[in-house]
Amino acid sequence: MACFSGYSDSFSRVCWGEMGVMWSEKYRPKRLEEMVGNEDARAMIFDWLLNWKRGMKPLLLVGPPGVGKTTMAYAAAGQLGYSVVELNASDQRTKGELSKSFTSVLSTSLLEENRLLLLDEVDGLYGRADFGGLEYLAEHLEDLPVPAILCANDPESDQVKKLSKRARLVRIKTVPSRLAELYLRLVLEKEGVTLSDENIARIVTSAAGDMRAVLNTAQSFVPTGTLTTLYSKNPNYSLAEAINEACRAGTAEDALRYLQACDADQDEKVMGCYNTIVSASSLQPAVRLRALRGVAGAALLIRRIKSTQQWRLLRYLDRMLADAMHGLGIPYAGDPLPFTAKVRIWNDSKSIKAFCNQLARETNISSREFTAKHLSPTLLIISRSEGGLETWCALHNLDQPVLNALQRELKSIIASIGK
Amino acid sequence: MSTESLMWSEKYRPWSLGELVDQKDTVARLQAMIKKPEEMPHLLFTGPPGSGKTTVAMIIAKTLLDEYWRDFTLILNASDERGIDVIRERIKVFASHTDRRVGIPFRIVLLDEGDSLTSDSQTALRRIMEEFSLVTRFIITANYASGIIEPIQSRCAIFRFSRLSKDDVVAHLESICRKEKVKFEASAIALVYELSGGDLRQAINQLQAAAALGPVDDQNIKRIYGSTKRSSVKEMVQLAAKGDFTKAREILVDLLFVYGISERDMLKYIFEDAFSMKALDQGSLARMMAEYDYRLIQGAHPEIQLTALLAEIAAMGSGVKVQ
Ligand SMILES: Nc1ncnc2c1ncn2[C@@H]1O[C@H](COP(=O)(O)OP(=O)(O)OP(=O)(O)O)[C@@H](O)[C@H]1O
Ligand SMILES: Nc1ncnc2c1ncn2[C@@H]1O[C@H](COP(=O)(O)OP(=O)(O)O)[C@@H](O)[C@H]1O
Ligand SMILES: [Mg+2]
Ligand SMILES: [Mg+2]
Repeated sequence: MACFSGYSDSFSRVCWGEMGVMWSEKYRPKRLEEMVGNEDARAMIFDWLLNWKRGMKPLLLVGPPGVGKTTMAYAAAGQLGYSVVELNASDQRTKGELSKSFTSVLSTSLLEENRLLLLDEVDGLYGRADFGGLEYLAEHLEDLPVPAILCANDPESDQVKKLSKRARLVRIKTVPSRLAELYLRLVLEKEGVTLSDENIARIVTSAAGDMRAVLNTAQSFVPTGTLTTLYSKNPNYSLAEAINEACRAGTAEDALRYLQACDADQDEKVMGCYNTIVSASSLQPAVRLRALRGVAGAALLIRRIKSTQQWRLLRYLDRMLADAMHGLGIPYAGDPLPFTAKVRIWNDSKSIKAFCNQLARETNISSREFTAKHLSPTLLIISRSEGGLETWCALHNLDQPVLNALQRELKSIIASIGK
Repeated sequence: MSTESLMWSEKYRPWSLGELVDQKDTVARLQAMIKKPEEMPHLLFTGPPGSGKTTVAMIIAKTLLDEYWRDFTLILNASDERGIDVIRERIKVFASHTDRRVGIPFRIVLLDEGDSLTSDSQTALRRIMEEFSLVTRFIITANYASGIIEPIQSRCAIFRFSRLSKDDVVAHLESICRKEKVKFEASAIALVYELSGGDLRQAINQLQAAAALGPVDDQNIKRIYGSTKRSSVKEMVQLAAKGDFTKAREILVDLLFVYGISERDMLKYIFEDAFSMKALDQGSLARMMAEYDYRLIQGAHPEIQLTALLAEIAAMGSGVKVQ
C-alpha cells in the first residue's frame, strides 16, 4: 500500500539526530539534465511540456520510489516557466476536495502565470478516504486547461490501470548502479566528504536503484565514517547478493530465503542464475547439468506463465532456482559475453545477414540454408574472382559497413583455414 | 560479375529434364506428364537440399509456359517473406487471374520450401488451390512431406527426390572440373561427396571454393568444409561430448548471435551430429532432445535451453549418470 506522505519512508530509514538539511532534498536536481538515468523519459517529458496544447493527454509517470518522478515534474516545469500546483497523498483527495482544488487551479490559471498540475502518488488514492476521487480524476483528465503530470509507484495497481487509459503512461525505471554511484560521488565531492570505495559500493548496491535511498544512507555515514550494519532497503537483497548467498547456501531452503528476499523481476532472476552458472568454468559436468536443468526449467516455466497468463505458477519459480543454485559455491556473474564479442555481434551480424539474404535470393535457397552451408565457400569464391569482394559489393549495392564486415569475416575464415 | 555466372552451382543448373543428374524415376514420370499439361495436377516435390527440386520446378514452368514463363509464374523464393498476408494478398490475387494468353495452359505458383510456411499460412492455401485450379497450378517444394499439412499433400501429386548417388555426383563434379579447366585429385572429389552428403549444391560450392584457394586436393576440401557454420555446429557437439562445455558454449553464442542461425536449424544439425556419435546413448539422446525441441516450440528462451542441451551432451559424453 502506498504510504501517504511521500517522504516518510526516508525518515523512518534514517534517524536524524539534529535538524539539518537532507542531502536528498538539498541535491534534488533543478534541471532535467542534472538527473541521472531514464534519459528517454526525461527527454520525452521535456518535449511533451514544451509542445503542450489543450486536449493533449496528461502524463502518468510510474516507477518505484526515489527514482526521480516528482523531481522530473518540478524540473521540467521550472525549465519551461511553469509553476507547479501539487496535490499528493498527504492531501485528502475525495471527489469534493479534488473538485475544489481543480476549480481553484483552473480558474486562476487563466489570469496568472502558467501552471502545471502535479498529482503525485495517485496510487495512494484509496477507496473510503478518497471517496469518489479516482472516478472524478479519471473523468476530468480528458480536458484540463493546464498540463498535468500524475505520478504513481505501482504499475499493477487498480488506480494506474484505470488512469492509464486517460493518460500517457511513462515508465520510470530504477537508476543503474553505475549512474547512482556517479551522482553520489558528485554529492560527496560537493560536501567535501570522503567514503571508501567499498562503502560507496555497498551503499549503492543496497539501495537497488533508489537514488533517494543512496543519498540518505550516504549521509547517515558521515557522523561515524564507518559502516556498521547497513540498513538494506526493505530487507532486500540485490540480485547479485541473493545469487551469491544462494550459491553459498548449504540447502535449497536456505537458498530460497535469499532468492525470495530479492525483488528483481523473474526474467532478471533467471538470467542472473544462468549467467552465473555459465561463467563458472570449474563446475563438474554433473553439477553444471543439475544447475542448468533447473534454470532451463525455470525459463520454461516463465514462458508457460506468459503464454497462459497463469501468474499463480510464479510461486514455483524461486524454489526451482533455489534448487538449481544451492551449494554451487560460485560467485555471481553478470553477462559473460566479453566486450569484443558484443561489438562483433553489434557490428557484423546485420551485415552478414544482409549478404546472406541477397545471395540466398540469387541462388534460390533459403537464407538459413545459405548461412549454414554456403557462406564461407561463397565468400572465398567471390573474393578470388575478378575485382574481388569490393567490386562485387559495389555491383550488388551493398554499402561500406557491409563490405567491412564481410572483409573481417573473410579474414577470420582464412585465418581458420590457414591452420 | 553476376552471381549466376560466377557461382558454378548456378552456372551448371540444368535447364532441361534430360540434363538432370540422377532422379531417374521422377524424371521419367514428369517427362510423361508434361506432354499432357491439361492433366497436370498440383505438384509437391520433397527431398533433401541440393537434389534438384527447385531446378525441376523451374524447368517445368519454363517448358510449359515457354517464353512467357516469367510473366505467368509467381515464384515465392525460399528467402522471401511468407506470412499469411502473402498468401491472402499476393498468391490469391495472382492465382485468381483469368486473363490467359492463348497457348498457355495455366499460371504457375512456385512455392519454394513450402515447409517453412506456418500451418496457418498453409491452411489459407487450401481453398485457393481448389478454387482457382482451373487457371492456376501450384508447385510446392519441401525437404520433408511432413512439413506440409495433410490437406495440401492430398491436393498434390507427390514426387520424391532421392539423395544423389555417389557415382553420379562424382561424375558431375568431374565434368564441371573439366569444363572449368581445373585440375583435381580423384580422392578429393570423393571427399567432397562424403562431406556434402549428396547435397549437390554444397558439393559444387565446395569444389569451386577449393579451386579458388589452390589445388583441389583433400586438404583444401577439408579446410573449406571446416569453415562452414554447419561444421561449427559439429565441432560444438564434439567439444561438448568431450566435456569442453565452455568452448562449446562460445561457439553456440557465436552461431546464434553473430550468424543468426535459428534455434530450429541448430536443433536439426545437433540432431544429425549427435546421433552419428556412437559414444552417446541413442535412447536417452532421443528422449532428451525431444524434450528440448518441444520447449523451443513452446517459445522458451532459446539460448538457455540450448546451453542446457549442451550440458546434457557433456554429461552424457563423460559417462555421468544423471537421472
Ligand atoms: N534520476 C535522478 N537523478 C538524480 N537524483 C535523483 C534521481 N532520482 C531521484 N533522485 C534523488 O532522490 C530524490 C527523490 O526523488 P523523487 O522525489 O523525484 O522520487 P520519485 O520518483 O518521485 O519517488 P516516489 O515514488 O517515492 O515519489 C531527489 O530529490 C534526488 O535527490
Ligand atoms: N539432380 C540434379 N542434377 C543436376 N544438378 C543438380 C541436381 N540437384 C542439384 N543440382 C545442382 O545444385 C543446385 C541447387 O539445386 P536445387 O534444385 O536448387 O536444389 P533443391 O533440391 O535444394 O531445390 C543446382 O543449381 C545444380 O547446380
Ligand atoms: Mg514522488
Ligand atoms: Mg530449393
